[in-house]
Amino acid sequence: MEITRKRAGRACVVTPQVKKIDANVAVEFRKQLMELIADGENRLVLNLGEVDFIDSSGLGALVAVLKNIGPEGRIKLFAVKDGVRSIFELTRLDRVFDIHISEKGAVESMK
Amino acid sequence: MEEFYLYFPAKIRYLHLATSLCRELCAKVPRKRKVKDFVEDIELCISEACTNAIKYGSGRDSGAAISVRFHLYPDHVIIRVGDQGEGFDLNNIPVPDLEKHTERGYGLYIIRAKMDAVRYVRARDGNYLEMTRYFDSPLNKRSS
Repeated sequence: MEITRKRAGRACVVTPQVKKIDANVAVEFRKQLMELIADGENRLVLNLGEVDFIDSSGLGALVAVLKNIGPEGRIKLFAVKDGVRSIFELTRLDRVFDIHISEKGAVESMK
Repeated sequence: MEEFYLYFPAKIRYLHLATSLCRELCAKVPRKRKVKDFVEDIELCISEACTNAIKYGSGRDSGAAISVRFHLYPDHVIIRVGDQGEGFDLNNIPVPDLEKHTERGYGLYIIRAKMDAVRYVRARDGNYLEMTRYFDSPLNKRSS
């Protein structure tokens, strides 16, 4: 599973290059995000613009990363498609993962 | 009624076989009222059910397999995801505490929310999770 990343101020913008975040990729997805945290990144902005599908395995990976990011850490999401967003809403995880429309909005909310 | 059957090794790397097949089948449903939600919800529930069957329903048997039966009726679909595990009682699966934002336990919760009917059947020749969804289900919220 490939993810790309770039710096935007204090935040690290991460883009998973996959259409589906399911059990097939969730372990690797979680591992790569955990490695970013281990490298000192604690303000992650996730671009889900490529992602058409997420299931409970993908959600579980994100929750695990959130719990590991520390009290000062934050995770923001943007470019979340309707189908994916509906799963966050169904599980009420939209309340813990701040969802923004644009990268700019997500990055600025980190300040 | 038309029936399709997929049988594959209980390994996560084959998960896409099941979701792709069901997505293709749903795409061929000649229904004017079929909406985008329907296809997405079916794919999601297949993914959840197969993942559970692979993780929890195949025990330690490296040769275990998963079956997916897709029954297409004029006004609804029934999907049966079979496993080779000991089985479980659907009524004993707790609803996740959504206020605690846990890492696990969302799978069956999502399936129940996205399907019109769900039951788990323990049978002599194998257990299966049966999921029913109607084409004109009130669960269809968004238009295609």
